[in-house]
Amino acid sequence: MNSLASLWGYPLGRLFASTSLTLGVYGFGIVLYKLGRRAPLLHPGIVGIILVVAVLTGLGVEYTSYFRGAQPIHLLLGPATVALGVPLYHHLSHLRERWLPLLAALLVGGSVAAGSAMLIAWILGGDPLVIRSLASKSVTTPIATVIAAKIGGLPSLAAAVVLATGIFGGLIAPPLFRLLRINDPITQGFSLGVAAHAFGTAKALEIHPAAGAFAALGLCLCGVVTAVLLPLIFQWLAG
Amino acid sequence: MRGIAVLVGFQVLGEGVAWASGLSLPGSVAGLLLLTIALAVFGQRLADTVQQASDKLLGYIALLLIPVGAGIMTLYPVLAKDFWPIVAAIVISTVTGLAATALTLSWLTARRSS
Repeated sequence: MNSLASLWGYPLGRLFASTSLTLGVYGFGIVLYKLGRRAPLLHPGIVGIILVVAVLTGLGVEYTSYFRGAQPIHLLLGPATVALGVPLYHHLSHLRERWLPLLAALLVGGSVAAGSAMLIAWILGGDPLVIRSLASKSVTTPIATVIAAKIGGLPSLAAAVVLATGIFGGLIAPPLFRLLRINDPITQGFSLGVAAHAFGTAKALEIHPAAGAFAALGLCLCGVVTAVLLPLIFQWLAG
Repeated sequence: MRGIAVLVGFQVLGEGVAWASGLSLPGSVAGLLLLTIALAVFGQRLADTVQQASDKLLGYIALLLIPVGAGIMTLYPVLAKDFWPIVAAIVISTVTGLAATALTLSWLTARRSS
C-alpha cells in the first residue's frame, strides 16, 4: 500500500501512476459499460471518476498530486473541445429550414435550465460557489468545466452536475414528451441535445436518426451559446 | 497527427483571440468557433484533415474527463452541506429545460406552418 502511494511523491512517478491509474479505470469502465448494455449510470466517465476517487482515498494520495501527474490526459480536453467544431459544422446545415424556431428554442430552453437551477439552489440556501457551478449544467462537460472556471464556480462540481443532468435528462425525457404530447422527432431530439448534452443525444439516437442529428446540433449550439453568454452575464451582474 | 496539430493550433489561436478581445469567452470555445468558421470557408479540404482526429478525441471524451471529474473528492464538505439544493436544482431544472425547449420549438413550428 505505502510503496504504491509513494509513487506520487516525485514527478516521474506521479506522471506514471496518475496516467496508468486513469487509463486503467477507463479501460475497466469500457468493459463494464459494454457488459452492462451501455446503461447510462455505467458510463465510463462516471465509473472512472468513482474508481479514481476510491483508489486515491484508499491509498491516502492527495488529489492535487494525482491531477498534476494526469496532465497529459487532462491537457487533451482543450483540443477535444475545439474538435466539437467539426460536428457543429456538419450539423449547421440542419439549421437552414427552421433556424429561427430552433435558435429561439435554444435561447429559451438554455436560459430556463440555467436560470431555474440557480434559482432553486439559491432559494434552498446553496453556497454561491455551488450556484455558480450549476449555471453550466446542461452544457457538454468539457465546455461546462471551462465555463465554471470563468464564472467563479468549481469545475469538478460542474462536471459532476453535468453528468447527473445527462443521466436524469435521458431518463425523464420520454415520459415528459408523452405528457406534453411532443411527438415530433426533431423537436424531441433538439430538446434532448440542448437540455441533456451527450446523454440526451444518445437517447435521441434511440428514438430516430433525425432526432439524433438535431440533438447533436442542439448540444453544440447550447455549448457555444452558453459559453459566450454566461460569462458576459456574470461580468455584467458583477460590474 | 496533422489533425491534432490543427486542433491544437486552433486552441492556441482561440486563447489568443479570447485574450486579445477582452471577452471572457473560454479560449477553447473561441477555438471551436474559429474552427467552425474555417470549415465553412475552406470546406471539405480542412474537414478531411481534422475529421479523424476530431472523431478520435471526441470518442475518448469520457477518458479525458476523469482527471478534472475526480476533483469532486476535494469537495465533500460542499457536497455534504448543499446536497439537497444541488439535487433539487438538477432534477427540477432538467425537467423545466427540456419542457421549455420542446414547447418553444413546437409552438413556433406550428405557428409557422399554419
